[in-house]
Amino acid sequence: MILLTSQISCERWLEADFPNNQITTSEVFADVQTADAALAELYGSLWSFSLISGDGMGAIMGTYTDDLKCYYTATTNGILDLYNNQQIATNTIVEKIWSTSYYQIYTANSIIEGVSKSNLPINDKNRIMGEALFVRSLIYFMLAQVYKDIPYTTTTDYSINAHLTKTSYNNLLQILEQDVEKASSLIPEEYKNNERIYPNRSVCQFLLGKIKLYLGKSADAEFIFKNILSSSSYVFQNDILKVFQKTSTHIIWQLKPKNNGDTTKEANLYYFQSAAPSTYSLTQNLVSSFDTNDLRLSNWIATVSFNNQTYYRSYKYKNIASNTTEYSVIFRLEEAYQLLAETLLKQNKTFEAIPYINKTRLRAGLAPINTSISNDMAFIELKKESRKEFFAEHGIRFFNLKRWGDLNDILLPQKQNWKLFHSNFPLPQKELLLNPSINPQNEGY
Amino acid sequence: MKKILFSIGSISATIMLSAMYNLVHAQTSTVSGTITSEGKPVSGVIISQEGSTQTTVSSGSGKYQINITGESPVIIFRHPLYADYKLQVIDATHNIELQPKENSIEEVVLNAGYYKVKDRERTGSIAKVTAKEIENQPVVNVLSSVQGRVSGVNITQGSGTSGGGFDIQIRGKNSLRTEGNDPLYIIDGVPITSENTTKYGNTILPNAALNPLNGINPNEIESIEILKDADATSIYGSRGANGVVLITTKKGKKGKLNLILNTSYALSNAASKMKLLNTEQYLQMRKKAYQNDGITSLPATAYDVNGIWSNTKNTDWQKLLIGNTMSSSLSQFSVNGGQENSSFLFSFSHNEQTSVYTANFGYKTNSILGTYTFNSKDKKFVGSVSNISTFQTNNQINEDQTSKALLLSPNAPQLYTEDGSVNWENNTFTNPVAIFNSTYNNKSTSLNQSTSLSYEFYPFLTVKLNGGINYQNFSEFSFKPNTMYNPAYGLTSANSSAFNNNRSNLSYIVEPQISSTEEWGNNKIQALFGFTLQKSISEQSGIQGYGFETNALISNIAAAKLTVVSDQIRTEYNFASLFARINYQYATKYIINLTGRKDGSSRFGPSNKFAYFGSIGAAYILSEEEFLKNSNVLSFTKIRASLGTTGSDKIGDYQYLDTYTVSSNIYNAIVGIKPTRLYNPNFSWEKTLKFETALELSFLKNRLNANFAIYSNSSTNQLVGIPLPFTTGFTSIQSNLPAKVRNTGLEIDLHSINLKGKNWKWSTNFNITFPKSKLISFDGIEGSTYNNKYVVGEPLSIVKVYQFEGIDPITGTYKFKDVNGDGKISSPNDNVIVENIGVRNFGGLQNNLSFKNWSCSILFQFVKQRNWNYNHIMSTPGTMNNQPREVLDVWSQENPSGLYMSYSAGGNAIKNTAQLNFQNSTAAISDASFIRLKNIQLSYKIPVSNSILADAIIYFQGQNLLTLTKYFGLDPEFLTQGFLPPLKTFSIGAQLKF
Repeated sequence: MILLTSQISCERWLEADFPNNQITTSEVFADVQTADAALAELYGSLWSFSLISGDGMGAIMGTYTDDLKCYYTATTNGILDLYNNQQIATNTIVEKIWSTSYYQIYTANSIIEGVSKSNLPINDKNRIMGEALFVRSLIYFMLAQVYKDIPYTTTTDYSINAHLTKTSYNNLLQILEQDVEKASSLIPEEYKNNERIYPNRSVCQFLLGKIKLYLGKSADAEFIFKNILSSSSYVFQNDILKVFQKTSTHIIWQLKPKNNGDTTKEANLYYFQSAAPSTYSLTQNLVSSFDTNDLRLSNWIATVSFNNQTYYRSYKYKNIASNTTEYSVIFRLEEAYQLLAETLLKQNKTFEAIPYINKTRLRAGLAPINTSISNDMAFIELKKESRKEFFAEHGIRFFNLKRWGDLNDILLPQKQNWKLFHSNFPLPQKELLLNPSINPQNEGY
Repeated sequence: MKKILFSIGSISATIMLSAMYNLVHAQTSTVSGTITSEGKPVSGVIISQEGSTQTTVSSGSGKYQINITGESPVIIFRHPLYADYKLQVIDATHNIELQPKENSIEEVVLNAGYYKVKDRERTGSIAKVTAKEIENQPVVNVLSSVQGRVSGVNITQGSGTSGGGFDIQIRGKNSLRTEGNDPLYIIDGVPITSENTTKYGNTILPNAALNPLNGINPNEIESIEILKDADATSIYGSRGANGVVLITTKKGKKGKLNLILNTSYALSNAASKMKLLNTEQYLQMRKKAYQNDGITSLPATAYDVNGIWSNTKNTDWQKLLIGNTMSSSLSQFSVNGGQENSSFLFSFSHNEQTSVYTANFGYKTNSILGTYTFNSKDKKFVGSVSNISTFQTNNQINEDQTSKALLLSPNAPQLYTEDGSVNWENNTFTNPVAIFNSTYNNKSTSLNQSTSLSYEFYPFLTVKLNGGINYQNFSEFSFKPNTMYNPAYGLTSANSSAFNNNRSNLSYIVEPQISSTEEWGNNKIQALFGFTLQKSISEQSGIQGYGFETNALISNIAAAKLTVVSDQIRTEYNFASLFARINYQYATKYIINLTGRKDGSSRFGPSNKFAYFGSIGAAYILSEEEFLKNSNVLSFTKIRASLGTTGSDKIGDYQYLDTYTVSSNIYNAIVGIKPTRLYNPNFSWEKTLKFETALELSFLKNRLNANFAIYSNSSTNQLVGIPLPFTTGFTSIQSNLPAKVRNTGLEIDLHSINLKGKNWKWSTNFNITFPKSKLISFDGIEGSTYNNKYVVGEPLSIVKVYQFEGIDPITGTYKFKDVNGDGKISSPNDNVIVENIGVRNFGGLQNNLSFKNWSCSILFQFVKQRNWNYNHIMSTPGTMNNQPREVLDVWSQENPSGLYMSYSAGGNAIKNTAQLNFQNSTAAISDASFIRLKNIQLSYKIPVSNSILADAIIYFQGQNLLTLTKYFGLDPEFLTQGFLPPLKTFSIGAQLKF
């Protein structure tokens, strides 16, 4: 009897009060404020490091290809091996991209699971779920460009996630097409915040258009991009100095820095002055690709002389102190123009495509290209234009070269260690050890 | 809680009432006399009448007086150093001659926590350090004075800066997690939290560690018992895996009122110093470095070598930056005394010291100990209260200056200009004293209150109630004013910053117990049954401030332009358990000891809240057998063995909850919340199975004692988190991994009385331990975060490094083995050479000599080990950093056997990379064994007669006076390199007893 009562009172005694810096998962999604705080974590982590952060694909893929020269010295930092195209499966960056992306996917899945079980008002429920679904799809989409076949999961259950198998690249694109369509239907067209720091329906449509382009559905993509261009929300920015100013209405989506006054990661990362670079400089190959009168050369690239050497740095983002003018632009209208041009060229609508290619040329103070040139010639012009417009932005250079099948033609002559299989990163070694189901390793590694 | 307090109240009230009822009166007469031994008076003899509770104590001159009652009374004289003496009272005056005791181990009684056990009857492994060994030592933490004295206990001091941490390993590391290896500390029956770290102190206190025993004056400790094996620790169940350290504070003695004044003054310096290059050698190295790099015109910033700085100045920066002689003074005032049924002790100590950085920094501790014991006249009721409170303020420089002292160019400018201001030498000098403007300080208060009440209802049944409260409050500030930087940067107080962190922990414990003893014939049985309720509440908060109008406001963080308030965290830890012990002895020859515990902890999920632990210990006293009983050589022989389980729940609170936590990510001014962890409610204790067998021998009437123990502890159920692929969103899930760690070892303790005469005595203690650890299994280690740390089949103390292969004669740089043959040296595929940087054996040798009024004790501590040497933190030789003399052995065509690669000023990327690899190669690990003259005590008892002074002792103490080592580096004892080595201390003091 005494033992029994002592047992019961022991159990009660052992119930510890809840820690006050933690909230149970069910409580998080019982309230819009806390559910939005869970979303804030997702965006915050996208800003802090992700495939789309200012120090993410833009820098990594820029140096992996031919836009950025790398100056890091530490051998433990995998970036040097990526610059030299000597990456192996234990490369720390290769692992970091993978691990942070899957953490963000987990966070998104946890929000989707939490919200769908919740009793939140239907509008909030749709919006939050849509945003999480969009972010998840964007990460999957970019991850697949980097690693090709990757595991796809929609659950937070570790017993399932620990044994996932790879989903083939093509299947994944089809799944993502549906996911993004769903996200698009859940998110309203109106921006949640006038600074365009949260995705709206057009942002989803933009990604959807890209996926359709990858799937070869050119006509669908054309329709989507034309829709975006015709929207009154977006106005092409003709002033080259305002392209990365946060108030410009050509911006479709941008990420806000962590604290008020923080500079963008891009501004910080590429900055050097009266010294040799310690991170990256723009390659001579990139700088030489500009016409001398190209306004982008004079406005987006800074020349630094030090010890009788001339270096070039990316100067798209200019504010390096008390920043109130710039956010990190993720999607901007110029990309929609070029993607539209590409879908048109693919459908042999050359004549229609050329004005879209010319849009950024004109702003750069260059002569427009002749509307009567051949489809092939037009595609060549588009490719050149894309490099000049989007250098050091979100790995667009790499993704384009890969999509166009140009990686080897462009990189073999420039980079001595470039191998044909380098179109994909290796899967992280640790991942293969802990989950053998994702074997085999990518070809060549 | 209310309910429990009520029940404590009612129990104690009952006990009190019945105790008072038993008080009796009787008629008395008086006996008095003088007690001597070998012609000298003996003080402190406890005198009592047989069958009565009357006691008294002999005075300093050996005089005694006692009241006796009844017909043909018998008086018993007891003293720990002399044989008991029984006197049949005939006259009113009896002078007594006591005989010094045969060296007997039987009299030593050990505190095993919940019970006491005689040394000869113990079945487990309990080491004891007594007050005599540690008293008056000039140490800030009593653990320093235990170093080298106890087998199986390896203690390493974190740094010479006062108030930091210690690494204490009792029979090795059982847990794969660093934080899972702390022992359980108990002061007078109250467990105290050992998981303490600072938030902002990590640049001055290595690993940001604090030790819970900081602040306790060694003179206030009666004994330290260290419980090691299963027999001794299983009764502590889920907290006993890493051993238990029991601290017992001093208690008052019955008899005359004693007033003790104790004061000492000590001077300390860093115990070791490195031999560095002088200016001439240094400049030669620098010039050669530029030459090697192919730089002919020296850069404008190479002030040391381009003529901007003097090329003749030669400063010993170790002397200037960490060479201040630290002074400390300790004063202690204590009163103790008692009557027949009560005694008390009150002690107040104050310790104040400066630092080796400058005299402006320092450490202060105050501690107050009060103990009171009471027993009823029939001795059925015994109660005691002890209270120990410590207050510490530690005001230190913000950053340990040791590595700067080693790195500064010997010809760097002077620290201060003529007018006494900080010298920036036209902005060419990053003056280290500017750091003196930034401070780190912390204040900690701890109160430990313990109460013990017991009542003997029947001769065979005693009820006991132990309880206590432990409160710790810790607050720290780190100030970084702009004045710590070169004014050339143009910083103002708008760049000053200040940080604060506060933490408090309140825990209380209640442990009602029933114990029973029964004897019949040759049988004796002792039983104990009890339960524990413990609650511990921790609170933490902090604030950071950036930018101040003026530095005068820096200590008021609210005045900052930007303040960041940290999470206000409150956590709770509850603990409940049942424990029992049964001890059976037959003919004082065979002893069996069974202990068991059922533990419940709030740190585990609902299905795993409880666990069972138990042990069996047995001893066989061979010397009680007829064939050995009359041996002239062997006076005592015992074989004992124990087997049992213990656990560890040091994993932090609330790990089983499914929650979201506030994150560091912020988006659009909304603070993010993120999933805290993968949800697993089904994890449980780390389990350690301990086995020990030992042989205890005494020879020649106990003049030589030898103990040999072999232990083997296997820890499984490691709470390391099962490694998971990243696709789960996390790298691991909190769970018990069937990884297994085994610690084995041999411990030898020898004690001998070498010589003993009428006026003098020479005795020797020696102990040595040979520990070994091995990671037996760890599934999935390849993919886990532990992959670079541990290897299956190897000890836990390994590191994985590059194989150093000397100097490449073509490039003049270091060469390493390219294990995977990919043409480059990189981690983790080439740094695969396993080096064990652990301890091979350790121990101590102590000699005690006494001659008349002189006594002297000398302790040598020795450790045989391998560890990181200075190469591990060395910068590229040739850069603007001073170097140890060893770098003069540089490789060149002329000196092809040179150890160090040709100098480089830092502009050579290949050499920089080679240097990084060199730091983590086999060349950076070497022998770090040492023999240290750990402690010398010399004391002289001034003969005083017939004055108010009862006793006067003057003493000299020395700590870390001499270190013999071949180690290449500052000091072979460290936890993290680059911090202040332990201090060498001399102290003199006096103790007066009235």
